[in-house]
Amino acid sequence: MMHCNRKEMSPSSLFLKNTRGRNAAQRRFSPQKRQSMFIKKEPYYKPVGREIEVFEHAFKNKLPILLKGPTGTGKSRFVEHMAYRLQKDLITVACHEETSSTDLIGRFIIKGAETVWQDGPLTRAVKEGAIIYLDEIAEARPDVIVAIHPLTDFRRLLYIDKLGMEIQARPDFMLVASFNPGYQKGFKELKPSTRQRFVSLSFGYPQAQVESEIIANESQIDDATAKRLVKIGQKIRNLTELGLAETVSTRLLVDAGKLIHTGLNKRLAVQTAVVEPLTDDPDTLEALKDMTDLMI
Amino acid sequence: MELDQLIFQKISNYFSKRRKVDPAVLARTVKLEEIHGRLTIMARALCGEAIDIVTSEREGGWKDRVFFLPKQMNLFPRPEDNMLFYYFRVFYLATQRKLGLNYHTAREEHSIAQAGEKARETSEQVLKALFAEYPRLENIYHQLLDELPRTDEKGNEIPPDTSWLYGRWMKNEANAGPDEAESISAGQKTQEAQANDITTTLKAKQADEIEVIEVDKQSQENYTLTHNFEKVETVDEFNGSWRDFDGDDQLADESHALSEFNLSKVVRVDDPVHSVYQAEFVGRATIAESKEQDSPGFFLHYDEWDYSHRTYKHNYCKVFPQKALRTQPDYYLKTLEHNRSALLHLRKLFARLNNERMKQRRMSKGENLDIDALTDMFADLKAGHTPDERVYISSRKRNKELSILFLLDFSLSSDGYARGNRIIDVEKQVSILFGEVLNEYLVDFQIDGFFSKTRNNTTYITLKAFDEPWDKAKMRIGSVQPSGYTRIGPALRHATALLHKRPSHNKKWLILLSDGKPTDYDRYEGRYGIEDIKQALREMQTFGIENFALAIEEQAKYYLPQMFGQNHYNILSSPLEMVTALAKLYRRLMK
Repeated sequence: MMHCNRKEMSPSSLFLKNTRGRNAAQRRFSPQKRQSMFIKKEPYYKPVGREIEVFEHAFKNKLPILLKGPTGTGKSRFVEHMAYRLQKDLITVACHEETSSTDLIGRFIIKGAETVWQDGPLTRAVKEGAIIYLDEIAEARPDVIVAIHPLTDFRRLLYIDKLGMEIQARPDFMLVASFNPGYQKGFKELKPSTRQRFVSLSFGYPQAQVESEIIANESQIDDATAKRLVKIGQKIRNLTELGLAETVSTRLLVDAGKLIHTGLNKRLAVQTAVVEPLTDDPDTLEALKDMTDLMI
Repeated sequence: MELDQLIFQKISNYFSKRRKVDPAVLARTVKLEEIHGRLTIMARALCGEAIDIVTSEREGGWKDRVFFLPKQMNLFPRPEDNMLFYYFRVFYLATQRKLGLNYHTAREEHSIAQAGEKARETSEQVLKALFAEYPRLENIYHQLLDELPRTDEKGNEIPPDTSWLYGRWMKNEANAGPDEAESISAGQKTQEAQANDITTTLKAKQADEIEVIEVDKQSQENYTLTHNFEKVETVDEFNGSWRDFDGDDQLADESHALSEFNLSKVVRVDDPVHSVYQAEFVGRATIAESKEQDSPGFFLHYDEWDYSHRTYKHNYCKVFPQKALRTQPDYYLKTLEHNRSALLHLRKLFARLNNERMKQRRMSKGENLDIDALTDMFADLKAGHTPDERVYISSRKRNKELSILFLLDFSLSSDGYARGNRIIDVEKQVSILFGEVLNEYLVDFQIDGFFSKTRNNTTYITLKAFDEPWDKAKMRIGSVQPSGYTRIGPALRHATALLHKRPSHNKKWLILLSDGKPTDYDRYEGRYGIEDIKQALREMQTFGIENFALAIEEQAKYYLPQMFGQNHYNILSSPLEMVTALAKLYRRLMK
């Protein structure tokens, strides 16, 4: 018995959607584009602690790393920076609810009358010895975690069930994952058994001095304005426990700095780049606008 | 009312009606209550603590975690400036608080004039720190200073009254010890008080420093009229002579006299009341702690967290688990009738959710074909591999491994209204609607409620136990009436214990429906209460139980996040919204 209800979509439309998705995947990971994964220019990164040292040692010892911390604290930038420092290819995968192990490991695709095996990003990183960065790993489907487990311990193996083979990771392969502990607490968490496989680094908001340096460097604004932006950031961060779901990240402050640098009115820049993205609650909006107006 | 009172009232009415307010003044007046929410958020951001804002008698100051600000401001010529004044004061107080400039012990006696003087003396220091941190405020300060009125009502020149800008010093009380234990007999009289209707409510004038004093029963009994010409009924500031309490409703008659009266000392009594004289105050009123009391009936001991000492008070609270026995089938039927559309909506949501859930991919048999699996099979065949034959989608029913405990707040605060809905009714109706649907989908759930009266008595009522059939339990929900206070900690701990007994492979969730504001007769307010709840929630997490809070009161946004943290609470305005929010939450739980 076979029937398709409307919610399932007709087989052809779904197939179309799939092929489109696969083409995109293919394009992204096609061999011609491989060069683009190599970071040529040093990404700006200001260390806040001894994270660079930790990363280098983990790399030497072939240990995977987990970066924990709220959004906009420089996790991704750090990985890019490290890839540049270590002169390694970097493959980034932004995980979401539908990311499955197939997306990471690879799949057969049909070309004309043939089927062709297409390596996924993880398989390629394992084969070529690159750094793979799984951003927001807790979001991905559980089979992703299962797939990476044997890669994260002494075995450093990747099983590809569809090909019936296992691949030993190259010595310079490294797995980096990130995870935002505040967001979705209780709903989506990493299991302790997974967490214990990683060397973990916590990312927080940097010290005022460091943060203003970062802002000044990234957005090219003067020191005094950068300091004021940092002060605003600090005050708003005070509200995390008091009702703001996500708080001001360094990234938001940098954005405000950039707007100011190109000549936008300071208050308007802070309002649109810092305050508005944070909340929709009218009272909180008003309060933050008025407060930031008085601070810049 | 006596004749002289009546005459006074008439005359006073006549004059107060004649005293007209200049419309220009009215137009530039900024009222604290209109910007209260905004200022609270601002103060919290500046201080990094849960600051509250309260109306002051006059210029105000700060005390512990409270900022006192004037009720309204119209001294400055334009409304923007009056608004700026409030902002300036918040920044100023935040700085003053950071510097710790205040009276620190209750023993430092001072008059109001001295307190003002003290604030003026230290203003230079505060301003210096303020301008260093927030340079923009320097201009604002000078602007406000220039615009302070320099003439009085009659046009005479006066020096500007800078006390508005500097405020006055206040006494901190956070560290006052709990040595003054007070025995509270939550006896018949209190219950009587709750049964009696309150017929008059009056708002008190603002008073910054109110002291709670103990009733001196001896002097009260000994009280005799000490003066031949003294009136028997009069409103006067307390001067040490005690009179009897009678609880009569005369407040409406005395309202004029009361409006002239300064509140400075209060006592705690059990007499039934008919009139309410509402005063907003913070202070030592919450310090009293109740003594250990013998209680009849079955009870369980629970610890309470004392944040100031960072220790548990062992076996400090008594929880009386009870089973609701009374039924009210009417309520159940009416709820279903009135909320038919909401229920339908909920059923649809659940049906959809459950269909989604029960769909299992890659089955060897089933009603539908799994397109993804088919594509893979095709690819495998082409590649010369043996294909996987599990290409069907099956809608087999799966057991939901989930235990949910709904904890309802039955304290008196749930008797209030939020946007036209009586809070307790919303709680009851939502639990009926939800119970109905959860029961249909065979989810393991329990519905409980609680209220408290001191640490010696937290009543924990089970309306529907986990293993009880819904058909019996549903009739009971309507029968609960609000009473008592909100000591959330012990109730949470008891609920945790109950959830912990459920099968360990289940995901466990506690959902609290409350305004979330901890209060009790004895010292379960403000920071103490919030910290205890936080601790109870932490304990819960160690048992692997997750929590979520739902509130329908607007005010909840100032304290729920402190306890439950981001993403774990929701503030809503109507039963329908609540139902939808719960359905959404359920969806998140299932994933």
